[in-house]
Amino acid sequence: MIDFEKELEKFKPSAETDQVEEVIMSRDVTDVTDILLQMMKEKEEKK
Amino acid sequence: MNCFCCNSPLGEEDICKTCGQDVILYKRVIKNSNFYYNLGLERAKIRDLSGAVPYLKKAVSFNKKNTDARNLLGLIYFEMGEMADALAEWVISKNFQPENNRAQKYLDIVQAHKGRMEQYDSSVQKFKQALYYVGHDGGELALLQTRKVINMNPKYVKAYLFLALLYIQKKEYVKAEKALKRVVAIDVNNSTALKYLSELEGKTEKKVLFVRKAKSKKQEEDIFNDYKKDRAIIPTYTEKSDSWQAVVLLLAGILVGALFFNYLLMPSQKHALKTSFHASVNEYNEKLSAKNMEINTLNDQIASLKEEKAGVESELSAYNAEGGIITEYNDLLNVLVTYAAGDYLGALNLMTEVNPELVSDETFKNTYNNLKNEFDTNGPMVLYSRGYEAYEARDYETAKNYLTKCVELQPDFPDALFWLGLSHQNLGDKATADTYYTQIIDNYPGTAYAVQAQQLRGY
Repeated sequence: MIDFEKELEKFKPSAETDQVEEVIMSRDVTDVTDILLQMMKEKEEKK
Repeated sequence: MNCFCCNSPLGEEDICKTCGQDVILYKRVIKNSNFYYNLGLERAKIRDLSGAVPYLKKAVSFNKKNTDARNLLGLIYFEMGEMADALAEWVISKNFQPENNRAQKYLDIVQAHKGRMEQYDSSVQKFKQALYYVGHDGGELALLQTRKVINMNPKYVKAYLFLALLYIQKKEYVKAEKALKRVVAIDVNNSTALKYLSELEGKTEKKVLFVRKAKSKKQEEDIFNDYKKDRAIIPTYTEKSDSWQAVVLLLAGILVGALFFNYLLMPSQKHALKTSFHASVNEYNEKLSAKNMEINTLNDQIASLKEEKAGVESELSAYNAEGGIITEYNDLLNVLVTYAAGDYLGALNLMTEVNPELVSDETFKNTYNNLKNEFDTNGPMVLYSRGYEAYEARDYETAKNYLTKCVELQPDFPDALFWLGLSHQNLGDKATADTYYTQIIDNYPGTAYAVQAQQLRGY
């Protein structure tokens, strides 16, 4: 059975177009290649 | 594929030819990113938008520069009515690959339709209002708002789901199902929509069955009616009714009609009227609250403008009013003009009227200070010599004026006191002259002025 209140909590307002900057800032764009680079850097520093 | 260290193109080898960097892992990461992009693309092609999103997110988490994956992710957000998220993805994509990027085209298209963007923003605001209403016992208002949101943003999946939930809450299952079917038309595997639909399955089917049953019953009735009609066609013997029977039947008919009108037709009419009245009231309430907000904003604007006006007026009065800045400038100008005309005493008297504290201008302050310095340093001597010259010219009145100002500036000036006393005496004011002579005798005993003053005073 659907719990109305519980389902309601899942609904969050969307961002407006003038908040795109905030949306971008909130995105974590770190990828695996970044982690890879970081690991390699650390490895070289240890040497 | 380019090397992540030196950005030079990579070949089949596991080591970069240019910088010698081991690229086995890097190549695997890029392959994984592309693999997830392909999965996302497959999903998107069959309109499984919400199913494609996690794959595409994974693709960009492996390789943030996988612009195809990012652009597709933006496109999916756009298709689901989430324009801000779409724009964010395209802007990030363009940032990573400024040239030959499809994201630029998408951004251009969106920016060319400013009205659409405004409509989107307005729909988001209304959706926020709807969320607010539902949290504050305003179910009907929430429903109205959400319907408006959908009119403005017809692919807003989130709004359809919300609308469906509101209908489910109101037990309007058929309407809820309709909204959910719109979601499924946009996003075939939307898990929330499918969940709600599965909840509705039994309820809407019952209704359909009920409708079917009703239909079949009606058909049966129709058949029965036809059968009855058929039966009615068969001629039967009936007795002719009398006229009083006809009147009774007519009255009974009127009575039945009145009862039908009062108990069946009126309530449904009343209900319909009530519903439309409530809808109108809700709409007017909404309009009223919007207007009230507008009025409040305008009132705030008026208040701030009034405050601004008062500030400007007081500033203006500080310039124009008596003792204002402009008056101070005028006073200083008068001093300068009088001084330039050679009226030293006049300039000195006017100088006392200038209040330098009111004006912060540097030029004004410098001019004032220069003049004050001149009067403080040379004033007594200039006044004395002019007073003495006037006395010599037998202009005792002028001599008295100059010398009075002179002793006012420098009271310990016996020469000035002496000639001032003489000027008064020559003007016939012996009593005042004696006061000056007394000052000389008391304060400068033994001087030539004291001896002469004693002789002039006569004792």
